[in-house]
Amino acid sequence: MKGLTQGPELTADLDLRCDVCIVGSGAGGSVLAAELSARGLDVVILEEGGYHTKADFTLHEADAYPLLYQERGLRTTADLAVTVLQGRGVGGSTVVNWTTCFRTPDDVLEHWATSLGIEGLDPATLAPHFDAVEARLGIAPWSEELVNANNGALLRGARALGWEASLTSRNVRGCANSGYCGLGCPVDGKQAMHLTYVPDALASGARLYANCRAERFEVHDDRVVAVHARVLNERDDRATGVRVTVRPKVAVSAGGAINGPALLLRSGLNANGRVGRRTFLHPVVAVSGLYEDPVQGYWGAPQSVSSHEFIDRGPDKVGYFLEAAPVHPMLASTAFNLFGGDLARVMGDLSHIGVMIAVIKDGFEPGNDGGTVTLRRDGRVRIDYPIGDGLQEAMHSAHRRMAQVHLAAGAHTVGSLHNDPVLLSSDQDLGRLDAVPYGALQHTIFTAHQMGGCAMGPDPDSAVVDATLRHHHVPNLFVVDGSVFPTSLGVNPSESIYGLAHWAADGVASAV
Amino acid sequence: MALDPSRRSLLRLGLAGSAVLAVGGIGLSLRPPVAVPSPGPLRVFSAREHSICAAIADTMCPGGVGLPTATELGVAAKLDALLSTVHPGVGKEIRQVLHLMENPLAALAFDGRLTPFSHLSAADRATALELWRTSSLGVRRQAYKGLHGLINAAYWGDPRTYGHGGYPGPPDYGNRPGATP
Repeated sequence: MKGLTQGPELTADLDLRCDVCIVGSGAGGSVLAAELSARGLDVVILEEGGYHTKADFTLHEADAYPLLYQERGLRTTADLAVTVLQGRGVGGSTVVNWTTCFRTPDDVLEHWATSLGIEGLDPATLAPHFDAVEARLGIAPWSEELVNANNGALLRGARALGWEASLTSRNVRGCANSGYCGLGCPVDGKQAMHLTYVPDALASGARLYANCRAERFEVHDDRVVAVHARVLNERDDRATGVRVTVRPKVAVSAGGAINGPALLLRSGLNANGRVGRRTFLHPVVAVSGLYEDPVQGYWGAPQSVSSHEFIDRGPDKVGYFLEAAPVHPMLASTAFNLFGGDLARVMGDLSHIGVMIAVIKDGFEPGNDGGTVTLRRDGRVRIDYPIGDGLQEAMHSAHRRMAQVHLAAGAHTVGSLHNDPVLLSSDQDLGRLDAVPYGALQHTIFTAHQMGGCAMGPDPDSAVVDATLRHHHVPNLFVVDGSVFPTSLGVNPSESIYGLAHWAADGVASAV
Repeated sequence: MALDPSRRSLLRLGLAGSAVLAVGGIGLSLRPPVAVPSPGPLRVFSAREHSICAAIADTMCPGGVGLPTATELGVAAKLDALLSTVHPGVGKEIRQVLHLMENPLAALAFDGRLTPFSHLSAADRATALELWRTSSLGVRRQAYKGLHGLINAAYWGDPRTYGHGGYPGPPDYGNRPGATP
């Protein structure tokens, strides 16, 4: 791809000048790069991960997680309680996400406006930007006849219970319904960034450097004067010794809600102490159901149904939404905390297991402040995410609801992912879920949605960027990724990031 | 700032772990783990650490019912290879956990036995591992969880175990390296 330079090609130090340097090529950075390049601006993108295409996607989990995920798939919270699934590489998480797209909900934007004082981000303002990214990425509702058995159970169960459930929109064209979205789409059906906005940007003249880790923004007199990056050896992420220095008029942090705040922290840009605070994970709890008929949850679009029946549970209660998760053997084996013959028995039923997930909407109630991103002494990122009473109560409630859906959909046995799984075979057993603890290290918890940590807001003392995503203290620095969300979203976040980046482009361009 | 619970437990892991390791080092040096040779050169683990890891992996994934053992799949060596690709701090923590699980004084303090993990019978290893899995100490459940994730991912991510649950493996879309476009 013209305009792309990969690590092994970088054998001598580079010193580049440009209008805008964007750190990160995921859902935020790619859309922004394409939009800025289309406006005639000279854009350099730095991406610490590698460039991978379908030729690299073997669809084996043991290859995909080390190749395509942060920390080779080993990223977790510091207490190991939450497994952090986050993509890495050109295209970021869009290469491995499960294609579920929602516009930012109106009530979330309303909350940001009325409770947090964020002006200018209303549904009408964002609508044309969502229209644009939906058109570019083929975002459209999935069709019910293509829903796989795992998602079908959610749809069937929710309908039987009288709960809201709908087909989700997916960013695909020519989807093979393979089920391998999370391991890299084998047919380029998923309209991930490395197939869409990245080539758009490069076609308009942007330059992308892969395997290039931005170490820090150099700031003088409250202006970013340089972005300092090191070239990484892709095999082990060790620095090769080659350095890339970019001297832009405007710098953009778009490395996502974990690595983005870490970059600002490494750059000493944390005057108000808010960087890496209010990190939201949409923590995910799951319940498995064993069905008489094969589910084959490893095949078919991994997510195509969503129920928001419990997204608003009344004042002071934490809401959640229900979706399904793909059931491939490696991820499944790590989700059950058993070992030996007990785990082998569960794994023997793999083809008959359906998995519901509850995605918890963190960051709205008083005291529901999410987690933190900090730096360890050895340079690694550290994520802490305390799971307090409000989240525990939501996890408990969600377990009951997921068990109900499985049972309504015809599962003969339902099992939680507690350290000692709670087993149910009818609604009469639901009380068993009331007798077990919830929270860190009590059961499996995942996150696939990382948000916050560089919150937008009007107050320079409590927010990192303003409502145009411009840094409060460094006017030629913007943050354009999921880290600017001041709360979580209550929906899968990718489209919100696409749309926000599309909207932010005018503001960034005008700062050049 | 008050320490949050996870930070406290990590500190506890560090303090308890290092104290036990310091005292238990003598016992360890006198009694090496039951040797499990690595199928190839090691990058992160020592031969001793590889052997401890293999003993734990064979307890997590003992095979039978048509399944191979973890050692037959080279699980410990797979972990060594994976750890060689991540920040050295990760490998260091995993190696500490391996030593802690093998350590006879830790076993004495926690569970009242003095036998290093790898020297236990298969049944006793399973009992010992179960005590880590179900411990009331968060630090022990953390250690179990960390190793559980790594070992089972290496084992169940191996195509030689796919058939156990009826998983046929990924279909071929003709996009493999070398495949005809």
